[in-house]
Amino acid sequence: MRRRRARRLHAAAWWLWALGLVAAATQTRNPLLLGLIVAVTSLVVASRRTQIRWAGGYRMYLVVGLVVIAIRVGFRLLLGGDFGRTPLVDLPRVSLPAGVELGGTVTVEELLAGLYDGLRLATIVVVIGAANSLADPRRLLPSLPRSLAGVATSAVVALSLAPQLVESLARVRRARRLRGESGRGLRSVRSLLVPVLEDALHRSIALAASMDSRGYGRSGAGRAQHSVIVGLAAWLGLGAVCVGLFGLLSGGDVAVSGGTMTAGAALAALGLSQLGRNVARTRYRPDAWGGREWLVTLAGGAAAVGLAAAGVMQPTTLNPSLQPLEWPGAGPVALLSLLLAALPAISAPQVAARAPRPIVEKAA
Amino acid sequence: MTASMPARRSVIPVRSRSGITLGLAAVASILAFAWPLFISSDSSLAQTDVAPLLFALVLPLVGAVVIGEIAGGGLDAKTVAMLGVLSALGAALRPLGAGAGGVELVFFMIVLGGRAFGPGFGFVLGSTTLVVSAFITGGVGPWLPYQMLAASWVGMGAGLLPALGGRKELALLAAYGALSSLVFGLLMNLSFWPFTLGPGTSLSFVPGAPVTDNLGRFLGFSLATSLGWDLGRAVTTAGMIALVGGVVLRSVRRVGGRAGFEADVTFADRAA
Amino acid sequence: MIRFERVSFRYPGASHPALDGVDLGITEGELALVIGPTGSGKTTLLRTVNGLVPRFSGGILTGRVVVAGYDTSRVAVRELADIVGLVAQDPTTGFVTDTVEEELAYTMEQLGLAPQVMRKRVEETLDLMGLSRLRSRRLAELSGGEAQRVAIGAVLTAHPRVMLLDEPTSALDPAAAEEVLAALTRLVHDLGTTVLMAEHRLERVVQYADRIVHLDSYGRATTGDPSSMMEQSLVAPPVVHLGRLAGWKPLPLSVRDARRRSAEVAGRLAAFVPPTRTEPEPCLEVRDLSVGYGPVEALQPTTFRLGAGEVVAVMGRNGVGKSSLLWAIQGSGTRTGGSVRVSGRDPADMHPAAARRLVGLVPHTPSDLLFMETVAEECDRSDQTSEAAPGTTLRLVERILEAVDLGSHPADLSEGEKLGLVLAIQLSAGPSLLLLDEPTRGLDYAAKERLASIIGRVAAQGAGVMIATHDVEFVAEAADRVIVLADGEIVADGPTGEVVVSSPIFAPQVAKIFAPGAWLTVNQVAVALEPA
Repeated sequence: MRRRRARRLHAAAWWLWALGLVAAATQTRNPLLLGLIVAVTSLVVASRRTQIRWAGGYRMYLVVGLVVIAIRVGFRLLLGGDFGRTPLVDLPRVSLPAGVELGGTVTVEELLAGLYDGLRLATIVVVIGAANSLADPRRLLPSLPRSLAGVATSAVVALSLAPQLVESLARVRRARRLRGESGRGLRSVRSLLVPVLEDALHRSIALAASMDSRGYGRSGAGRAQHSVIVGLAAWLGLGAVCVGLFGLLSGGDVAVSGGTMTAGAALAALGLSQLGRNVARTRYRPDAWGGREWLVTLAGGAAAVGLAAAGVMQPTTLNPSLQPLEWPGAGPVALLSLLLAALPAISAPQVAARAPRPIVEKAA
Repeated sequence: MTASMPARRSVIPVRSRSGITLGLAAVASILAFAWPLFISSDSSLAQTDVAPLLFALVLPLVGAVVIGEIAGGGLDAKTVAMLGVLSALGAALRPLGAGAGGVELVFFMIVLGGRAFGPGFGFVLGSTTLVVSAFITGGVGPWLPYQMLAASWVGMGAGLLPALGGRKELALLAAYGALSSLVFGLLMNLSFWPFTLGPGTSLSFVPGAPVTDNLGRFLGFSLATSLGWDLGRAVTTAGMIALVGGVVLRSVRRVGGRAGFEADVTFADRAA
Repeated sequence: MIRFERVSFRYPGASHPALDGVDLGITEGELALVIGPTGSGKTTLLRTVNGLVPRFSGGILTGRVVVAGYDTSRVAVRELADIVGLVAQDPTTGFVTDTVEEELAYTMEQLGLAPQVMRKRVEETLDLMGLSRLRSRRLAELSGGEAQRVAIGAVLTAHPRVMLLDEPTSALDPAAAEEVLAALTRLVHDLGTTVLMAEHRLERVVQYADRIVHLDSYGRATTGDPSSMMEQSLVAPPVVHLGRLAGWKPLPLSVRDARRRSAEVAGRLAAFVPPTRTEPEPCLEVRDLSVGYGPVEALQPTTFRLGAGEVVAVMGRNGVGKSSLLWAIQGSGTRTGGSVRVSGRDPADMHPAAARRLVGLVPHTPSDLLFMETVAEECDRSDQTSEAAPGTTLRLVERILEAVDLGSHPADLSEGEKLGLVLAIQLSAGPSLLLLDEPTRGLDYAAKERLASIIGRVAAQGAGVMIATHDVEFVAEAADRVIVLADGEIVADGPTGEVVVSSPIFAPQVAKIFAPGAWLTVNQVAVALEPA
């Protein structure tokens, strides 16, 4: 008897979970809470990431996060205005045209304001990085509505082809030596690009022939019929989204504008999903959506709702005061809701990592 | 192709009724990219960094509706394969670029693809290229929907440029490539400016301040950050198109013609 | 099952038809083999069966192709997906998905089959094709034989009644080819699938065929049962040539048939002693050369010499390090240790243009070297970089390829023509060592013979030649010496006769028939049997 493979979690669940954490992070500047969010995502990534290939990705997002903090703090200190009363360092002051002032006195408040803001952005970046390493985003492609099936197929094809083209670029680069091409000037770009391009175009013909003879588009995929109602829904939806966005930007009522936008988005999405209704293709072993997916999604949602609730009860929890300077603190509601977001570290299925097979001769 | 003015083909036809969808999508795009210029000080979005994130949620839907509209009419196997291959090529060429700046050679393929196969194809190619590139390099973030939509407009624009032949066509495309990469960089910068810099500096975005003041500060911010990069990208894109664009276009058109996007098929003895 | 009624076809812009008045019928459950010289329209014939020709290619088709009762002029290609399955020449270019399992399910998804049916058929196909261990493997990581079996399996899940296979074994090493052919015979015998297969490597497939369709260079077809077709066919495996020479009736098609009748000829051959060769001057000296990629050791430290005028074949499984060895010798490939001397110098230390005059390498994918827009431009460019007199490359091209249109785009040439063009470009520099990586892919018998004679001429002019290949018949024809690689090491090195005769996998047909006698080719036998 072969051991049954653990069913992997639906990719969308991880992305919804991350969305919840992003929503939580945008609400707060509290470094304790933001640090906790990063800790939670790191824990979940460490215990539940799937493929070795993607494991390195999370570290890259952490680095990007640090860069974001550095930019924020750096600009704040260099270009910052008069904010705060606790001086830290005196930098020489330089006046540039257009009212830009470089340097000046750096205050603790200024440093902290930059740090808090930067930390929030870094957290958002890191959370998205976590979703990226927990669920390969290409697994979301099959979940696209059927009217986009053709485009999704293109993306799948491109995703598997691109690494091969990088390989063939390397191969051609090496092969150039065989013709005695020195590798400089117009000819060099040309002798590199043209063989790869021709190879790729040749593949596109072969691939199209293969798809055609294997029944692509047979049951109506890519021939989705347009009905007037569906088109109208898309227009109305898009229009409402534009109106809603404009309302939000111009300071209209949040409930009305936000509502208009959400309704518009829903209508457009509905139109989109109806567009491909007559497509009758089926899917082989689609990722199922079940209890564990709900649990992961809700864990993310809990963080967002929890922080919102904490904010209502005690606003300073989310935005610790800088004037006067106060130590950031965190109440039980905020802490508990963020801990809840770590639930997937236990509840999500563990999927065995699969080591890629080394390719020897191909790389040669 | 021997004709000096190659026949322009539109592989994914954009029908007139799609015009309305495209118009609405354009409005949404302008709002999303240039929101710092529109936002009023009493907007609920003004005080926080939420705006780009909110747009990052809305934009994929806008793009999807447009693509659903123009591609829903019929993507045959040849178009799907050509789209896949050109997106892969664009994504594979990305690491060849000068490094972290990144997107330069992606635009190269998008402009030429849109030119060879028309505005509808260009729009879809823009999105697929960027998404494939991001999936491969792990560069998925709130900036991705912006990049996708912007690249789509670039691809569509390349397909809408007037028909010219020979060197004139290349010169036009090179200029277009340079302009679009520069504008792309500036717009990306503009939409994420309040997000990356935050409030409280002398280059910061001030919600509700006069547009000219904000533009001045934005120019300062751009000079201090990415303008050099954007210029570099514009130059490399234009240079690449001028140098090898001709060869690439001829190859793509030759294969597009031979694979017969509109193959001349005859069954001579077809029984009535 | 398949019926061609006076089918003629002309590609758009072509001056002569690719198929001319083809009239034939193939009954259910038959394995029909399509043979003919390169460019005779084998692929075209296959593709008319599911309508890719002319629907996909463009062009004018007259007559009717009827498959399982469907007239291809009336049904779109995709509507035939569950009736006709096509496996193209290079299966990897037809893959749509990312992993083996998804690829197997793809056609069924397009057909809209129920999930339980898909699940069941995928499992059955995994077993039938021997793929169950590879089910979640990425397609890009498969070896050639595995990819070919996945491609066949992916078509099979739709339960087609007709399978079209375009050169299913030509890119495979002998062992992988056996696996694929075993899977195919299982299909025909157990499932009653009708198979129409085009193949150059007749020595591998002809004994499995129930019927042979022969296409000549003008696209005209003749058909018949294998042994009668083989009696006059120009395109024939060595065993058939030998049978004709010895006058065996009925003609043997497999080594086994031939061996049972070979006793008398073998007795006459035993009296004959083949001439031995003398040790030539060395032109290549390789000492302790090793190649590794990261932790992977592709080639263990290796030492050997190659004489001027000697032709050496390097054999071994796919992925055993043959290409790595050639590239390391040429100097562009990775080397992790050891030294290489070609006429006393190391090409890796030299400028690319100078190194070319020492070593010429024709890589596995010759098209990597072609980047101009016409054949004529390629030739001019080659003369410049080789610093050869104008027209040198052109003359070589004309000698290697019988007829090629100088105005055509290099990408539109056939595999064999691309190879010939690149070979000419490399020879224009006059290298003292010529390296060829898998040069016989997609070549028919006539083209291989021509290649062998060109290699012979290059060697006669004093250059050393090294060929990485798994085409055993070509080795028997062209090589003086064979080096066998396994697991990154040389496991055998010696005169072709000694090395291949004793090997069950690398022995050519003639050697298998006369084993333990060291006879390799029909020509040798013919010379030996000639009355002195």
